[in-house]
Amino acid sequence: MRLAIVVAVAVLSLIPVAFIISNSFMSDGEAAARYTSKITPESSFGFIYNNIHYMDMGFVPDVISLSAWRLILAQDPTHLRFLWNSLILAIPIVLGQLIIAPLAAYGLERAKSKHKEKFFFAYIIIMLLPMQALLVPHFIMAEFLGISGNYAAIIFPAIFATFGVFLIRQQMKGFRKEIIEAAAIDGAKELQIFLRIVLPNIKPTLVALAVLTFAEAWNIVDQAVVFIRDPYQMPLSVHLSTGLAGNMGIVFALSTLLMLPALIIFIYGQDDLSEGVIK
Amino acid sequence: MAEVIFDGIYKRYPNGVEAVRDFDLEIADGEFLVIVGPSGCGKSTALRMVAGLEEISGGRLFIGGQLVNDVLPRDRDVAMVFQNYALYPHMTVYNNMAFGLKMRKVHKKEIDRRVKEAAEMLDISELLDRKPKTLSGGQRQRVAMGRALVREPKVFLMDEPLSNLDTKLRAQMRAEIAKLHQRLSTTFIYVTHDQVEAMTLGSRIVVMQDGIIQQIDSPINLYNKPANIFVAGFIGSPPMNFLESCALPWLDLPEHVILGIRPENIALNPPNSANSVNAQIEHVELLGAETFLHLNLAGNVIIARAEAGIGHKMGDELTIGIDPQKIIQFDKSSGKALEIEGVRP
Amino acid sequence: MKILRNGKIWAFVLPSLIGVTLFFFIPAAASLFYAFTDAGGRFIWFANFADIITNPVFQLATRNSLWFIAISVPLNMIISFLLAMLLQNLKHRKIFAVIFMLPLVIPSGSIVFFWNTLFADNGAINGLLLRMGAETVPWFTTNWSFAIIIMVFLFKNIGFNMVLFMAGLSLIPKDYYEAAKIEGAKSFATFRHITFIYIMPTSFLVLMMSIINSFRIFREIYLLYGPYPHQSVYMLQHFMNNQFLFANMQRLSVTAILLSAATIVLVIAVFRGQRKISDTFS
Repeated sequence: MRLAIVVAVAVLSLIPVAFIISNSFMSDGEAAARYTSKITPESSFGFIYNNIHYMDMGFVPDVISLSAWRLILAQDPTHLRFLWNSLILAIPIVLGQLIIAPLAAYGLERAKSKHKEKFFFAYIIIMLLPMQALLVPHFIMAEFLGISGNYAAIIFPAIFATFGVFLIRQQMKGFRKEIIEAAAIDGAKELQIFLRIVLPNIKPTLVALAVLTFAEAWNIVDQAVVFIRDPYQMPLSVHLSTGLAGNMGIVFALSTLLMLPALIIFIYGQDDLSEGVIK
Repeated sequence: MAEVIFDGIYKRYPNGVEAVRDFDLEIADGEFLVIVGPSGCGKSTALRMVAGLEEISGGRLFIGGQLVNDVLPRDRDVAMVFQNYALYPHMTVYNNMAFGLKMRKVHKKEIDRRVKEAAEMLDISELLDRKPKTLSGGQRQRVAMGRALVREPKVFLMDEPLSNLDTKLRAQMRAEIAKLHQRLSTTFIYVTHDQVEAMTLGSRIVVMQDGIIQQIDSPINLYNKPANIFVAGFIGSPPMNFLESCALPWLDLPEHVILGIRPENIALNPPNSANSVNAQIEHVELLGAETFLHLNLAGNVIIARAEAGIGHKMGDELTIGIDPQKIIQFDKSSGKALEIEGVRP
Repeated sequence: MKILRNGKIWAFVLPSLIGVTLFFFIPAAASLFYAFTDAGGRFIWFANFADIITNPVFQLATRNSLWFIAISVPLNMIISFLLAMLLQNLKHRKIFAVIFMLPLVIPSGSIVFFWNTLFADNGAINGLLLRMGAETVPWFTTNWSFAIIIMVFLFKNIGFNMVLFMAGLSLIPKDYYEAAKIEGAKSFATFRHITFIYIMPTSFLVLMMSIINSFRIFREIYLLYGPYPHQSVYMLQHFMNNQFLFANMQRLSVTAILLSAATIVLVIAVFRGQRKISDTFS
């Protein structure tokens, strides 16, 4: 019974990934034939009812083909440009978060002022608001600073997102005060305590934050739609959903391309992901 | 090496609680001073103020002649051993011990020399590459001591360093700490709630209660001449017995006096019947080398120390004699010891 | 010394505080200005608020968003907690944990093709229904669309939250359970007085992340259904997105302010509730 549930949950979790990746190895024609509503010579083998072709969901390509990959990687490199756009957005966001959030969390945890909890409360509110509500202030500020239309309008607010501060502070609460005190007596300055004592001990949380922030930054849709006007500046996530006009031949290869960096970072950091959040 | 002077030190918290009040104390260079008291008496707070971990709300604190009220912990040149050791979890034993020296930019070779020397002294040389997580409680304790040792500080601060060890290990470490102090002859300030540790380690002991110093004295004086009922009851195990003056009618003392009698000063079935009274055994505690008898004396329960193997049984009646010279008198309302040597019958 | 040291410690918070002030606090104040003025900059009291609150589209969006949170968040927490309880002492836990957490990191842009293939009008499920002789279901253009996004949300979050709960459960010391057993506590009592209490900090974190992610699932909704979906899944984010198209700062500001106010109330309620629960049960 238990085993059945475990296997069921695991299979359910794996199916979409398996589906997307395996379908990226279909030939252009096969993918187009499988996932169209039109009746074409290729799709006429599929299931047709009332002149509609129903999608033929498959996990094993008839012929394993690299044509989709060849197309997006070699023949039409504009697709790679969108991948590049995504990287240019996501990498500064992750790095910025990893610098700003631990500093702020440490400061808030160590400060003795009574007002710090008020700031922290504001941080929690900001963290919980939906992106659309935050886009309003971001938009106002971006217009004011004249960075609207630039990546900066997306990157800066994301660097200062408050979830990381919340997460790391929550973890620091479990860190023994005496260890910090011992370091202070040992002669360490505040910054040295932070860098040499605290940071190494919350490494799992930093990794977890990096993974979660990357997954989020890699997935940017709303912000890009609001701030970026040039369609060629869009991240891959937006390009994939708007710029293909149902070109099923390469959809799965591009989806896989979009998924891969997130998966790599996830698998690299998975060991720390749950430990870094709950401890 | 330095003397430490508390001059009218106060610790007040924002909520108005005073953890330490009017704390006056001069600790000589090289002295082993123990601060003892029940939990919450302010002893740790006093120690932490020396370390610079607690702000001083009032009064002046000097280390080695320098006023340190506003000096940061790192600039005070003190080392501290914490109750839970507070080892850096991500560092090896070696790096734990070396960290303080690295922070002070001591030369690498010198660091290496000092760490190895301290490790040898504490018998932890084989542990230098291990992480704290893999060590036993006793080993961690040694590492914490080593970390303080290599610093060669002006003052060693120890906040209940042995409380997390089992009895056997505690006795062993007690002896080692005493040896260490002899060898280094640096100033030690040692905080504990355990009066046995206080008595065996301290060259002088400060007894605290509710943030106030009750008495500062040598161990033997604390035992023999307690300043008040609290000190008398806190020092000594089993504790001193306290009786209303009317419980020993032959003494003919005023009513406002409380009598304090150490368990070893109660004679059982004494040969002459002067100064004696009847009591009943309520409970017998066999400890092997000695026996403690819980006696009912006209409604008061007192504890007497007896030799082992006499065969006292619960319910037995016996006479007990009390040497008036060994009774300490306290004022009932103030609790203070009265300045009388013994009691003249 | 106090001022000196506190000042230093605030230097750590400063970079974040500057950013937050710049991108959240100041523009939030600016949006207050927009909320109380008309397009010409005249102060018009609560007219913008009245306009928004009586707007039937806003009402629809609010209702949908509230329903969505009210159903998806508790459902997600309950299911992931039950699964965590069930799978607590799993063998090869680490490998399974990786698999369970996988859906969380699949980008919305990738996963929607999977859902679309399943539920589109000519999708695989409708094809299957027809082959079994049943009628097709227009999943995306009926109330089913609401159920589907609940499912999409649960799919994405249950695995991760379950792993978090498993981590939280493994932190509860075993001797608590042994002590309860010795005292003869029934399994429900053990659950109520031990598991339930000591899982609270984990639950709090999971709750926070669930709320955040319940808003984030909008991406999937948007990519699946487009800017004008069936009315059962028209969310506050759709409403705001569409206001962005018109750059209607008044409406945007008012909506953002109302959302923030609701969030503040929610957070206070959660904090109070958490305190109250730990007080009454421990």
